[in-house]
Amino acid sequence: MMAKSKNIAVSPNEETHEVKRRGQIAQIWFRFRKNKMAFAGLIIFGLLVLVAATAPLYLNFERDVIQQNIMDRFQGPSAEHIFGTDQFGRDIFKRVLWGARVSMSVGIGVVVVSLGGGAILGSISGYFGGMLDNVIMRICDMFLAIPGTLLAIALVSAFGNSIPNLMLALGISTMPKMSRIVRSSVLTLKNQEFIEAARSCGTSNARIIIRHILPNAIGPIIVEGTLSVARSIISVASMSFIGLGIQPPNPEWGAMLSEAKTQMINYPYLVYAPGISIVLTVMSLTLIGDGLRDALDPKMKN
Amino acid sequence: MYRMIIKRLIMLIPVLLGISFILFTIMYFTPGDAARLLLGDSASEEAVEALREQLGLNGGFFERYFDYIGNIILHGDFGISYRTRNPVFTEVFTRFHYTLRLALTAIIISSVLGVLFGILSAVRQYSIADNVITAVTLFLTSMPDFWLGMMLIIIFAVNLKVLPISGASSWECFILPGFTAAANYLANTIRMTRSSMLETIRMDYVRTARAKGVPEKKVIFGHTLKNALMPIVTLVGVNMGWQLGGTIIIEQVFGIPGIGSLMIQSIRMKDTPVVIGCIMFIAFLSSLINLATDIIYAYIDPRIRAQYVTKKAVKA
Amino acid sequence: MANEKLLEIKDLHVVYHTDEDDVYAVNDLTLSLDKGQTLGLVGETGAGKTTTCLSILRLLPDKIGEVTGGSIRFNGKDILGISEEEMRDIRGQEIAMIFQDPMSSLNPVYTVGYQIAEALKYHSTEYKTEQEIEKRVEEMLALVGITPERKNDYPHQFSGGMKQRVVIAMALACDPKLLLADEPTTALDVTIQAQVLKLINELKDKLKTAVVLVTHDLGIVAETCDSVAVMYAGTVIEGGPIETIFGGENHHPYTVGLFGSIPNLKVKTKRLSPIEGLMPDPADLPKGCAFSPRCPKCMDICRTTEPPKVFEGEHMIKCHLFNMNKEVEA
Repeated sequence: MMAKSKNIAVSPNEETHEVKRRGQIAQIWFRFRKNKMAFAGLIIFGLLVLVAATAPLYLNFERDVIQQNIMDRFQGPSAEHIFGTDQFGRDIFKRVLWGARVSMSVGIGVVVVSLGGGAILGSISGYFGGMLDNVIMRICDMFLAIPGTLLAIALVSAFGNSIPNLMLALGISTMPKMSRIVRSSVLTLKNQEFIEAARSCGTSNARIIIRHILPNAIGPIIVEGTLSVARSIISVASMSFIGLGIQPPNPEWGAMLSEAKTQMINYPYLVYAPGISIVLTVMSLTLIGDGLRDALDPKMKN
Repeated sequence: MYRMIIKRLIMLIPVLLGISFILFTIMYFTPGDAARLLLGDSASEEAVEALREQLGLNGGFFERYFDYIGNIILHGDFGISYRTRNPVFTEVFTRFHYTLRLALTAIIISSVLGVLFGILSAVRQYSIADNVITAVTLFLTSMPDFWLGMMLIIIFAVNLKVLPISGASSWECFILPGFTAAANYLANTIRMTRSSMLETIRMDYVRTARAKGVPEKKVIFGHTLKNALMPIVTLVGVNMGWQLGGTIIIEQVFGIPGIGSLMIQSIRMKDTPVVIGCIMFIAFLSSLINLATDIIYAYIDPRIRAQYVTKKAVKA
Repeated sequence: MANEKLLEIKDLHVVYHTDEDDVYAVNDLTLSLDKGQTLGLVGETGAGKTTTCLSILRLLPDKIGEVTGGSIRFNGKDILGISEEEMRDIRGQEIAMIFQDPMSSLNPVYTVGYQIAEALKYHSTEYKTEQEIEKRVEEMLALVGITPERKNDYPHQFSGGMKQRVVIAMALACDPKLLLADEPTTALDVTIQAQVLKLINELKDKLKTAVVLVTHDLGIVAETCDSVAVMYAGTVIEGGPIETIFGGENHHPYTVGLFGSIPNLKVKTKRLSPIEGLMPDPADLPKGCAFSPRCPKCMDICRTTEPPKVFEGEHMIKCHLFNMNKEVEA
């Protein structure tokens, strides 16, 4: 009887441990799902992406978005034009819908540039260290000492007004920050054993960075990328607002607000829809980013 | 302590030189010609060429850059504005006080309200007040500042008619821009204060203070806040620096003739000396503010103070 | 009995509500302590000793820790029923606590003098003016063997042992009736441990303070305590005057295990006999006796029914083993 009871004395919780051992991605998804705000953000953002992606199916760019109808100008919100019409008689609702396409694609484009550049610079800097690291990081420091908006304005005006140039300019202006984040991730990974193992097998440096380091550093990079899209949408809108970004009649939300600026005292409704669209997009992305951060690293949550 | 200050000031020099080089490069390779922009499309080629010569725009890249930097280092001369022919120094200083006023209003609003709401949010964690504050914070960070400015104008200047729409002629003019500029930083300060307070409030020494029967108010504002203040002070310092460079777009919305407006004008006119002068000035100020932040640390935290002071000084 | 009861805990239940589970930290705990006496609270990490102390001060973590049942009476007063203000008057003045880790229990931004003075400032009727408080602070520092001039120093200027002395000075500044010492020596070096314990002992005798000494070191208990309560999984499984625990015939199998896992210099043993297994997960306690999965004398009944408290005079054992014996005798 005594012997029997000793056998029972192992760990009583073995079964629960088994259940808790899910796949890593499934676990992150599980934690993300539990975060109601983040999940709401994901749904809102999903809807916005859907609207932006399908806009050409129900809108004609030339006829619905660009074409001026002076006869219909400054009509307040009504059943026909739910957000009203602007000073050229264009339907604000249709322009805002199309604007989702512009704002989001440019915002994402900016992040692709800054993330691409940042990943290259950061991983080189972190992986090789030494002189190269020093030079790259000091240059980043100098860029970081210039207040962000100023740097963005200087670069945007230098690159000129086209959309690809705008993406490039804003991308470069956020690249130093991105490089630093990638670098610090790479630094913590660099000396871990599986990297040593790969190196001892004679794997090339480029392959180690691409196949081993970046996939493992991806968590914080994705979080930063998501939040960065949110910030970029605001920067693009800001540049357009002061006339350095996307030019009218292209219905980018900031450009729409720029056009509305001179009219807003008499026709305040012009200001509402584009602004709320920005807020909604940015907010949903922020929620997703914060949710991802908590899901990736539950310890960080307070 | 003095040593630290001097060391930090010396370290500023290469950073400022680097900034000037980066900006000079950007401005040099930017399409557009200052002389042509100044004289307009109708001016003759000869007149433009004469102006180019006069402004010294014909030199090569390095020649012009070293000329520019040489003048700063040797004579403290930041050059003259191509546009107005005034010294850059005068240009910057006649505009700076507007930006400073705006930045100070914003920093006071964001710091005071930010710390207060942050504490409230942390002390009443998960309460309705906390949730409301968190939601407002999220809303503020998601808003482009120029749009907030426009909305405030519509509400307070157009509908309620209690504050001026734009301008910089009286202190009332700075209320709406101040709140607009504060919004983002307010959100950051609230977030930072909340998380810092929540972290500190779980410390053993806070429990010790409670176990001593210290009144809750003292526990929060004394034992916890004094320790939680470090990251908050950093944030306020950083905010202050960014604030000076971040009001450009808000100045545009409210028609304030500050440094931001000057810069946008100058960038459009390719007025390189003014652009570089403005940005170097702001970067210099931000660095000074960062330094001041580090000195303030030493006054808050005895452990950091001890690093700066030698043993003898302690006993004296 | 001539002794008056100072602290009486009856059927205390404490639950921690965490994100995932409810953690049953203290279950049906009963304790009592007479004035001026020392009670040793012994048990493994996670047995609920600290939680018990925090419940007495009503300092369980806000919104997470909750007393779900039972009563705590201090000096005849129902501590769980009084207002927060009344409780604050008791904290520091009548009940003081020394926490486990002296490194983190002093606030880094205040001088040690200020931190000792604080308890006096809010409570003391005896030391009111600034000079009186200052004098008392110096007196307390001297009492714990620190030169009074150091009152203007900051915690980072003290070593661990010195910090613990400061913490003790702070706790005793108002002459509390009850001192809760939560593993006051665990974080310290062995030599400093002895000094600190000696200090607590001396001060206890001098100031007639009752002490609850939380520890997992039975040696310390033997030296300092008048009575002992052995805790396991949030409840007292054996308790009584010190002689009944260290002497006596019958013991709870867990207590036997605890003694078995201490090296003994006098008896030659080939190897120590640790208690096998781990403390059960307090979020998921086993049915019946909480110790049953690890108990070498486990019986069928132990896995189904909670054991009763069996008394032999003041000696209490909560185990089926002795209950059955009695029934057989009767």
